[in-house]
Amino acid sequence: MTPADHTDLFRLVYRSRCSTDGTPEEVRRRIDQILTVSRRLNAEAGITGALMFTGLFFIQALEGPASAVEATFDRICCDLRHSNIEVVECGPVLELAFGERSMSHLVPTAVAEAALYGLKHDAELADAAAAAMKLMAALVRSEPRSDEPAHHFAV
Amino acid sequence: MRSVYTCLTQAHDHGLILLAAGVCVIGVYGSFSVATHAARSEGRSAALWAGASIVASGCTAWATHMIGLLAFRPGMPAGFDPYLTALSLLVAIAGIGISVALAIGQRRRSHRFLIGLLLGGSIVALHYLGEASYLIAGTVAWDPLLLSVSIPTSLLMFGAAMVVTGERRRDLRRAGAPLLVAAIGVLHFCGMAAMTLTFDPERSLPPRAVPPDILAPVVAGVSLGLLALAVVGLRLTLNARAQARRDQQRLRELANLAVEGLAVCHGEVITTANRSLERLSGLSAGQLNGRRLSELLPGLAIADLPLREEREAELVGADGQRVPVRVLRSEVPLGNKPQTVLAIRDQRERLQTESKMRTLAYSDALTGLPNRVHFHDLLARHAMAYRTHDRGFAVLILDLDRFKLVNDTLGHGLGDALLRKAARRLKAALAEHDVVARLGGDEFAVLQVDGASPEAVQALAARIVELIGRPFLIDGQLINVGASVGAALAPVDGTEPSQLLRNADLALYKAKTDGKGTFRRFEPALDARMQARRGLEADLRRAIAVQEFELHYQPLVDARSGRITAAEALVRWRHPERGLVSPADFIPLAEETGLIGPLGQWVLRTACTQATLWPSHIRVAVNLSPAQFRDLRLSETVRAALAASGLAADRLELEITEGVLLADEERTLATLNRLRAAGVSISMDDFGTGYSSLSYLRRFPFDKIKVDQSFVRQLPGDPESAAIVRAIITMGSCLGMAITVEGVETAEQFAFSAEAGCDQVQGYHVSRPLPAAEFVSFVDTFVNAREAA
Repeated sequence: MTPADHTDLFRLVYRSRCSTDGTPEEVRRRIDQILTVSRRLNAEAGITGALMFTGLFFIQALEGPASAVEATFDRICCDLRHSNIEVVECGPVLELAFGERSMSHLVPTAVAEAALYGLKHDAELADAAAAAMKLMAALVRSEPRSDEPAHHFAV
Repeated sequence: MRSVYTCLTQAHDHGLILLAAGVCVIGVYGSFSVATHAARSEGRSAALWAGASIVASGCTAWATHMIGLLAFRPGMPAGFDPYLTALSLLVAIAGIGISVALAIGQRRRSHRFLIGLLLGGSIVALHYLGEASYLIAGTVAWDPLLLSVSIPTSLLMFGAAMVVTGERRRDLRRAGAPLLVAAIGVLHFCGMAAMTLTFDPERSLPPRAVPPDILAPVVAGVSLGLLALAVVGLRLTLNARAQARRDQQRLRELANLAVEGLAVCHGEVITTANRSLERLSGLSAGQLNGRRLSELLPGLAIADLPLREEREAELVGADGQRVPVRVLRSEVPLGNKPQTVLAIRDQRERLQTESKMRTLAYSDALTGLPNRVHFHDLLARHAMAYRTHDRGFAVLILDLDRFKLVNDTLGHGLGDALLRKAARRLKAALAEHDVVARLGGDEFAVLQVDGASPEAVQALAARIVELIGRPFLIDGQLINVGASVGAALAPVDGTEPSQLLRNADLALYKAKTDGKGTFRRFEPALDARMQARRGLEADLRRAIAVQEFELHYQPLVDARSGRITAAEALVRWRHPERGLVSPADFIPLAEETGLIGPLGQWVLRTACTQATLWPSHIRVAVNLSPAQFRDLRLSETVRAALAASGLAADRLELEITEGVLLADEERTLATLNRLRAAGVSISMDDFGTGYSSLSYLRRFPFDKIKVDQSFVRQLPGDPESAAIVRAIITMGSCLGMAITVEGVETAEQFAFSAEAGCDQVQGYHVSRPLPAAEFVSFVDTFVNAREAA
């Protein structure tokens, strides 16, 4: 699926708070589950994007045809495993910024953690979100093109 | 008996005997086939064919007899008496015709026997008339013994033949024809044997005797006629058979065309089935034929089925699948006997349609959720079950905050999409057995049945508020609405459906007034408050009807001269039990219920009328509420009040608050301009509180600004308040608007206001609001005092 030349390309980035708790290992397993389902459904719908989990917050970018993004966001908004969903960016775009994989899993580095501080601490969403998006886009670009979840950025 | 044998073997021409037998067989066949055709035909043609058949049978008997006579070789000249020969033919036809006519439908054996005797009698008459017509050149002697034995014997055989012909049993019936032939044989050959002819040369043939050579062609002609008739009969029979086959084929095709399954049954067993039934059951024709009905339609006793009345049943198909059907039994004559035919109608489509219609009737077309009717049903059922099972449940009612705004500004299409998405999120918030329904508009209801407890209700409501509070992405637009939820928990908050719904509604009302996006559970205080409100509303209606209101007037004095220049009309409610009620206690309710309309009109008319009693330099100020501004006829109402009272328009001041300007500014400005055009002056009341947007002052040139009393209260000690009051006064004078300072209670405040340059002062320092009569006397004393001073 390469929707790069799609005229109807739409992007939505949101941040939400994880509302499931458990040991870090349990949380990691749950996120892997979320990713598995998300990748399958996204591939069917023609959606690409990236998901980052900061330990408390999810930041997810969805890119694809507007109707598919709408349907995917609808599904995400029916999920009770997270809360306080806030849309960071939403609108038509000309090209993909988060890669062409159905859902890249980005794990923030220690340096990135600092950049995410604002986002994690409910500071001014707009500024923090812009920083987070920049970081995510950079992570996506530097990630090797494989279907394995990237763990070499792991903290 | 020997003579009979000799007679048969020696005295007859064998060839002719065989011919006689042949003519007999052909004639009988022809007569019977034509008779059968007559039975198939109707009306005139039936009578014609029946007549032909009878004539043919008579002719057959006659021709057979005549050939038999012609076969007889008496060994002397012989001839036939033409009259007796003709008479014998007529007797045969008449006898057979009458017997057959009598025999039709004859059930009783004795009657049939008598008819047989009659038939036999006519054949006997035929025979002996024939003998009598046989003339020879000699004498005839009869053997009386043979005659007396053979005639009764043959008559009895005729009788027996007729009896067995009408029998039900087929094997007995088959004996009819041979018996008949035997009877004729006995009659004929015994009759011939009993006759002894003696040649007597003395006797010659009478002149009327017709020689055999002449009669033979006649007999031959009759025989040929019979042959022709037999051919016709054969054709008719063949045609009839072909027709029957075609009919049967057509019937089968017709049966196969039928949508319903049809089965012809013999007792409990199917003998024939049409193709629809094959399809319906999945069984082949071979499998269906011979199958017992109880296998195909278990539990259906065919004998108990009433005629012409459908019964519900289940058909078990080849794969064991059960198909709902309706079965109709009828008794139909097929062929010549009545048979049981079952019509089996497939009900699957009808049931599907019905269930679809039920779904439509009970669900909301937009969201697919249950609708209001369905929800009330479910609730009633649960309330009933609660009584027996004691299982708690909760009713939650919610609506979408700001939905109307979204619908009005972004269009109904988007509003509908929003409702659909909201419905989906609501479902995501529910536990497995909870039900959400759309009651109408943006109002939804949830029946919580999974372990409803105060905590569970709270948790469910929180989930709903969370999910609906999330952004909605519709056609590229992000839309934020919220949900306000009210809940009532059975049995604590009621057990009756209507009570639960009402209490949940009250809780929702509370949630909405407490700031949207929240959840409230019903509490009795809500109910009490609502009851009190309702009581007050009824009271207010009554008070308007019986005019329990009165106006008090608070004077406004000129800050420089101290003269009374105007008075503000303030409404008071003189309640029969509660005494004087403050406007703060009833005006908000009057505004909410729309009662402000009639109340405001009364205030306006009364103030105008009472002001006409005052000195002409004193104006009257009347407050208008935002609700009154929503009435498009406000300016007409004001003109009418002025006209009715005779008060000059320039003596009326209308005071409005910012609230009036908040909603629908264009319309409000138009109304204000119309009022201004009527000559009425307009004041901005309570200036300095609320939004106090200065743009209002720019958009509409008020005649007067009234500084809110909250600033005056701190005067003159509080420098901030002093600065604000001074600033407003300066601004007003720059804009050319008069300034009134309200709530002046002390001499210092009065002095400050006058010194700051305000135009009018109002407050307890001058006077409290006074009843109308007191105000008039106050004006008098005030004026007198000033003049005295």
